Order: sequence, then C-alpha cells, then structure tokens
Amino acid sequence: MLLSIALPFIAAVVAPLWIKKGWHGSWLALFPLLIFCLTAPALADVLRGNERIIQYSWVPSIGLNLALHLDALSWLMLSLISGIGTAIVLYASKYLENHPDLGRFFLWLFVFMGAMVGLVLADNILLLFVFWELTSIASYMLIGFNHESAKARASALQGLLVTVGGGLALLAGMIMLGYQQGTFLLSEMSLIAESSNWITAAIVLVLLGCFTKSAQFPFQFWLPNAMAAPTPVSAYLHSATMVKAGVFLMAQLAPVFAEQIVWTTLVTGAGAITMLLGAWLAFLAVDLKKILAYTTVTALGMLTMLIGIGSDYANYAFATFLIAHALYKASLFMLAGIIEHQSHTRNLRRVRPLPRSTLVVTGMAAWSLAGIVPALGFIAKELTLKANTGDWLLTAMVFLTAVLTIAVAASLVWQPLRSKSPALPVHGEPWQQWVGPIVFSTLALLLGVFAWVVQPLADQIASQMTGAKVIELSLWYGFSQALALSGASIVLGILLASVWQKTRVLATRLRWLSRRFGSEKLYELTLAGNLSFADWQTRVLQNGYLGRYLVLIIAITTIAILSTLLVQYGWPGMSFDALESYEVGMLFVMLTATLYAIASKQRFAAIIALGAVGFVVALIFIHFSAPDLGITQVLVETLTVLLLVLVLIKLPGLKHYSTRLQRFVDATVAAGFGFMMTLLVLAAQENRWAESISHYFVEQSYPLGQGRNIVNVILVDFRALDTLGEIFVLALAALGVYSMIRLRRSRL
Amino acid sequence: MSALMAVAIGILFAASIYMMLRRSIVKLVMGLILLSNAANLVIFTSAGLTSGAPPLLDAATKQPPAGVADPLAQALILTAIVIAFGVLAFSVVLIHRANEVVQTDDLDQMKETDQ
Amino acid sequence: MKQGFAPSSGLIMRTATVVILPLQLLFSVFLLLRGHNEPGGGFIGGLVAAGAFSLYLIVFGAKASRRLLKVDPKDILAWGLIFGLIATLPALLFGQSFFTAQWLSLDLFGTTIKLSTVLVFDIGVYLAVIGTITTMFFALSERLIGSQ
Repeated sequence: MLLSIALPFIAAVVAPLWIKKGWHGSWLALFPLLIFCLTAPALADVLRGNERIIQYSWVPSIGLNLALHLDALSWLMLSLISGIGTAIVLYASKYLENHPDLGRFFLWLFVFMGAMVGLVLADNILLLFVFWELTSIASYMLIGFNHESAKARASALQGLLVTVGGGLALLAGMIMLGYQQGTFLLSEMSLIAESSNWITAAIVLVLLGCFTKSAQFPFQFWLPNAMAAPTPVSAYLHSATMVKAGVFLMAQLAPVFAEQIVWTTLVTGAGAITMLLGAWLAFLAVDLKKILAYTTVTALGMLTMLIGIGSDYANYAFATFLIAHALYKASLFMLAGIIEHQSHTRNLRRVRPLPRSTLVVTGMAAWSLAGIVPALGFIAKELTLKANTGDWLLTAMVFLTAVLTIAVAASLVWQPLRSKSPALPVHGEPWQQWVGPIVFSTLALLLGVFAWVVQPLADQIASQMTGAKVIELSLWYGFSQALALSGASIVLGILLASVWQKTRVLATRLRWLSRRFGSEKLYELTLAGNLSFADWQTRVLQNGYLGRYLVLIIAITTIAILSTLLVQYGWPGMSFDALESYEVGMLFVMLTATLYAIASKQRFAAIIALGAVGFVVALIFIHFSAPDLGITQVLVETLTVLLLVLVLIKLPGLKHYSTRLQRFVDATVAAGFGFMMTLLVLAAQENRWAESISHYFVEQSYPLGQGRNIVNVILVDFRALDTLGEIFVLALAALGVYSMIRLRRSRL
Repeated sequence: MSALMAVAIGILFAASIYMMLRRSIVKLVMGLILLSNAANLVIFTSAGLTSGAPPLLDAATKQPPAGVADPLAQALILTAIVIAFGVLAFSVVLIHRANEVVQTDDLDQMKETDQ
Repeated sequence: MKQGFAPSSGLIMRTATVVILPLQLLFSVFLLLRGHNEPGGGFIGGLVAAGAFSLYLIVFGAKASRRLLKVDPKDILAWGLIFGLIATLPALLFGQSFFTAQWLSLDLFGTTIKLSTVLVFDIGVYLAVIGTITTMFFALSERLIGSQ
C-alpha cells in the first residue's frame, strides 16, 4: 500500500525529466497502470471483509500515525483513481503533446494522484487531512495551469479558497471527533448513539469540509469555474477524484454519525438541493464543459443525499452510482476535448456535425448519463427511487433531476445531429485519446447487464456503511412506482431536449439572475469585504511611524500583563533587608550611567555611559556566581563600544525631534512598562510554579558531559542544538552586515 | 538585594523604552542596548541571586558547591549576550545604511517606502 | 576629534599591539580548551581572539589586518559552521540520536588526553564567533574609514 502512495510521487519527480528528455508522455501512464495492477489482487481479501491495516509511527505525540487501511470503498476508489488515471495520462500526453509546460503539468497531475491515493488509503483522520489539503493545492496548480489567463488564475484561487477554507473547518471537526472517539483511526471508530453539542459542532465542521470539497450547495459554484483547467484535468478531477473526496469521507463517517439527526438532515437536504440545482443549471448551460460540470454537481448531490438517507436501498444505490458516474463522466469529459477539437467550439448551440465515431461513443456515454436500460446508471436510479419511497418531496426532486439530466444527455447527441453548420474536415484523434472514452463508456453500459460483477463489491460497501440486508442488483425489479417514474422521466426528458434550442434565450436570462443573486456573488462580496477591511486596518494601524507602533504594542502589553498580575496574584511583597553597601553602590553607578546616557547630548559621552552600564552588569554577573557571563559581558561590551564608535561617528549627533507633549507621553508609557517589569520580577521571585530542571544539569554534568564547567557543558553538549542554531544566526547577521556594506547598487 | 535589583531592572527598562521611542535613530540603537542588558538581568534575577557558588564542579570531588547558582539561566544569558551583539551590529549597520540612503536620522521622515 | 579612526601612528600603540596579539591569541586558545572545566569555552575564547584582531584592525588598518589573517574572515565563519555540523555526525555512525557526544580517551606519554565531538563543536563555536566579528568589523572599517 505504501508503494501505491509512493509511486505517483516518484512519477511526479520523474515526469518533468522524462518530458525534458523529449520522450513521449504516453509511457508515464505505466505508473498509474502499475498501481492498478497492485491494487487488483487485494480484491479477494477485501471482498471477504478483511481490512488491511498498516501502521507506522510518525508524530506520535499528536496522535499522527502513518496508518493506512484498505476496505471495499477505498479499494473501489483506488482502482478508479488508478484506472481512470491511466487513461487520463494517455489522453493528456496527446492532448497537450506540444505544450511547453507539459512536464509541469504531469508533475502536478501525479502529485494530485498521489494525494488522492493517500487520501483514500489513510486510516488516521489527521493523515487523511494532510492528503486532503494536498489535493487542494495540487488542484490549484492544475486549474491555474494556463497561468497566463486571468480567468484561470481567478478560478484556481476560488477553488483553493473555498476548499482550503472548508479544509480548516474539517480539521477542527476531525480533532473534535477524534477526542470524542478516543482514537484518530477510522477503522476503530464506532457509532455515536448519544447526542451533544460537541458532536453537533463536530458534524457541522466536518460537513463544511466535505461540502466545500464536493461542491455541495451552497458551495457548488467553484466547480464549474474550475473548468478553466485543461480538459484532461477536468476529466480527472471531476470524475473519479477530487470532488469525490468529500463524498468518500462522508461515506466513511456515515457509520459513525448515522444516528445523529443533524447529520441525516444536513446531508440529505444539502445533497437533494445540490442535485436538483445542478441538473437545472446543467440544462441552462451551453458550454459543453460547463454542462458536464453541472451534471457532476448533480451526481455529487445525489451521492450525498444517498449517504444521508442511509437505508439499504440507498447504500446500494450509492455504490453502483459511484462506479457508474466515474466511468461515464470521465469518458464524457475526454469526449468534450475531442468534440472541441473536431468542431472548434465548446458551445453546444454552435456545435458542428461530428464524425460518426465520435457520435457513437458520445451516445454511449450519454446513454449512461441518462441512466436508461441497460446502463449501470439505470440500476442506480431505480434503487434511488426505491430508497425514497414514502417521501414525496425527495421523490419529486429525484424525478425532476432525472428529467433534466435526460434532457441534457439527449441534447448532447441531438445538437450535433441537428446542426446546420458545415462539418469541418475530420482529422482522426490518436488512439491515446480514444482508449479512455471507449473503454469507460462501454464498461458503464455493460456493467448494467452484468451487474453480478459489481454485486460482491456493492455488498461489501453497503455493509461497511450502514447496511443490514443484501439486495440483488438487477435491471428488472418488476413493475413498481420507481419503474413508472423512470419511464415518465425518459419521455419528459426527451420532450424537453427537443425544445433545448428554443429555451436558450430564457436560459441566458436565468443564468444572469443566478449570477446576480447566487452564492458565488456572496463569495465575491466576502472577498471584496475582506480586502477593504484589510485595507482599512492597514491604513489605521500601519501608518509608518515606528514610534506609534511601539507605543501601542508596549502600552497594550503593559496593561495586559499588569492587570493579569494584579488580579491573579495581588501585589508582590518587597523586602530590602540584607543589603551590602557595595551592592547598592553597583546599582547606583549603573543607574546614574543610564540616566546620563539618556540625557547626554553628546554621542561619545552617551556611548561611554552605555559602556559603563554594561560593565556594571558584568560586575553583577561576577558577583552573583556567574564567571562565564561576566567574562563574556566584558568582552562583548568592549566590542559594542568599538562598533558604536566605528559607525555612529558617521551618523548625525543626538537631536531632539519630539515635542514636549510627545516626550511626556513616551515617558509615561516607558515608566509604566518599567513598573510592570519590576512587579513581574518580584512576583517571579516569590512564586515558583514548576520544578526547576537545573538540578538535572548540575547532577549529570560530569557523569554524562565529562565537564566541570556546567554552563559550558549545557552550551556545547546538553543544549548543543540551540548553540548550533545560534552560531548560524550569528553567521546570518555577519553576512547581512557584510552585504549591506559591500554589495550595493550603484545608484544608491 | 533582589528587591532592589527588581527596581533597578524596572528603571533600566523604562530608560530603554523611552530611548526607543525617540525619533532619532541613534537613540533607538542606544535603547536597544539598554533593553538587552535589562532583559538579561531579568532572567538572571528571576533564577535567584546567589553569591560565592558558581556552577563549577570541584576538581577533586566532582561535586558542586553548596547552594550552587542556576547554570541553565546562565547558559541562556550567555547565548543571549552574544546573539544580542549580532543583532545590534546588524541593526546599527542597517540604520547607518538607511541614513545614507534617505539622508535623515529622523524616524518619522523614514516612513515612506519609496522615494 | 578627527573624523573616523585612521590607522594610529602612535609608536607605543603599534609596538604594544604587535607584542600583545600573539599572547591574546594564545590566551584565547587556552580559554577555549579549558572551557569544559573552568570558566571559558568557545564563546569567550572566540571573543578574546576577535578582540585581538579588532585591536590590530584599529591600529594598523584593514589591509594590514587582512594580510595578517591570510584567510577571508567569511571563510573562518564558514569553517566554524562546518565544524559545528561535523560534530553532530559521529553519533549517526553509532546509531545514536543526532548530536550525541562521543568521547575518545588517548593515553599519550602518561597523560590522558580526552578528545570529543564536544571539543570539535566548541572549536566550531570559537571559529564562528571570530568569523562573525571579523567579517563585520573588517567590512565596516573598509567602508567607513577606507582601507589603508
């Protein structure tokens, strides 16, 4: 399993070099193919219900282990990711053959693939989150692949903000869930029977993450915009992978949350709304890729709804539809690329007549999309309708969705057929681009007839979710309400498709409305509001006067610490007994020198006064048993004076710039801070909250460190890593000074 | 003594903050120097003041003197002293450079990023 | 007062510097080596040596100091960091965690000499401190005073 995760990342490193060498990208498809071959043999085990679990310790202190598991659902996802991935890599190797950035493209595609593989295999939810975020980042790079287009960049950013924002909520929810369960491992989680605010909050947060990722209402808007990506990316992201991540996670968590009303209501509701909304928008759209994107939204909504319902029929419908959708959607997207190439437009209104081969394959894929006998999608739809029996609202929504989807599917084939514009000369697409669409659309159709192939996997997935009894997958469940509705939807759908061309004027107007009032508008407003707030607070807080920043910071710090100190501990005591006269003398000299340095108008006098302060500090160190410190302080003080003399000589003398009032305010703030520090030191002397760790160093200095100077042993042995860091800081400071002095642009 | 020390530290801090709030960059540097001295003394005093018991083990018995001073605080301060010097050097040169470029030592005149 | 510190021509200062410099350097090495048992160590030793070079710099100027030092101050700094890093490595050979100190006792003519990665590390600190301060001061004096 570890190999399956590693392979894509290896490929990500290899791919750019491979392309640079001028070798053909098709060969890179061997990587996902290999993963597929590695995954396949595990099927037998998975079907017997044996989860494979592997664990490596990673960051045990926060419960983050490299724990992987392979159950039926993740096996299915894994084979979709690798199987479709193979076709996508082949397709992309031709589609983008002469693109200058092909290497970069493959790099991010493989990173994305690796992240997805990791995501579906992760057993630890924190690990899952890491991969989750990685998919967001990789998809950002992929959507914005054509980075010279402002639209692509904006879409990529939108996708990133929405999914990563949701990801943050997800992390919080995961951690809450982990604490509630006492484990971060998916395979060890159990059903939560009771309900509490804590669990409700966890559910809402987790769902925020899943909904944003899987483009559920009201976050559905980013997915169609993500169509700015190159076609192979759209095919990959929206068929098998990225958007399925949210659905996948919800399915994995369904057994934990199934009894929570918040969960079932939210998931079912959002899913159903998304489903209908997606179908409606798909019907309104004219851009081929947009249409497909909205049907994806529909499919995701349907999957989500099925998870929310959680009955036996729903679980089976979920499993079959997951497979069916991945297959036909991947091939449809790849076909969209081919159609665009052959017809020089993606606009379904202006599409030209297509070659017969393209039409046939498109027809097959669209057939599955419509979910008509004998496609696998048909079984899924039957089961969905059965799952909803008794709830007229949901049934109506599913029915309407089916009608709209069938209308869209029919238009996909009908529009090119009806097209009056002249056909363009046909140039054949290479086999690499045909493999995927043909294989997947055939599979999507055939699996309906040979449903027994899918049966064991569906059984296992259903039982893994919340399933209890086995339902046989079949194209024929006898006459029922579901069948009747299915039939009616076909008739209505085709009727609707026949007027597709005529509804476009209306559609354009409606699209405008939704842009005006939809959730995307809300996103834009939020973004703009955020920016103007940042702008405002920058102008207020970051006004460019260093002194004002400092006053603000220091005053707030003083007040915060002082109030805490006085409220929590009261006034610290003060005793001036046992004073030696020379000790008082030392401090007196130090303070006199300090005040002189402040008041002096002459640079050199001030520097020397500062030097005197430093030397008294050295005396204090030596007097109170710190010989090493004393020596260091003396030496550093000497060098400091030297440095100041070297540099300050070139600077203007000490001048008074501030007004009297300004000085008074500053002095007050400074005095307040000093007062606070005095109290703090006094309080620190009175209280010790934790056992000192110093005695360990004192005891172990000789036995472990073989040295009698404990301070030095700490510096170079016990805490040597800190010291190593310190000399690097010194080096940086030295190089900084050097470059500021030596390396300068001539115009300055 | 430590109470008196606390008062002295407070005065040192007040002086350093006051200097750092001045508009003259030279005074800012002087404030920085005072600040690092004051900060070191805070750590030193908080760890407890002990005289006549440095953290050195006896050569023969390998035992520390009775009531030995806290070596950890000393190690921290030793590091801090040297680092403070590095940072001071850096900021002094930075200020020198800034003065060269903008031709003023008044911090309030330095607030524009482009000239 | 004259602007800047031009190389001093005072005879006493010159003579004294030449005499004191070797002693200072020797003393700094002494401080470095005894640092594990008595007050001293890489930081203090390095500061003493850096102080010695700074004195020379003030008296004789940057050019003469560079001649005296023979290597670029930045190289000293780099060697300091390299020594510091080398000291971390031997522990890996013995499968211990990063930075674990290694000791080697040698009996040489009746006296025991203790060699250790700790010493290597302290030498690294020593060189890094010297390198830092000389890099800064040489650059400063060349820029601000001119390199005589």
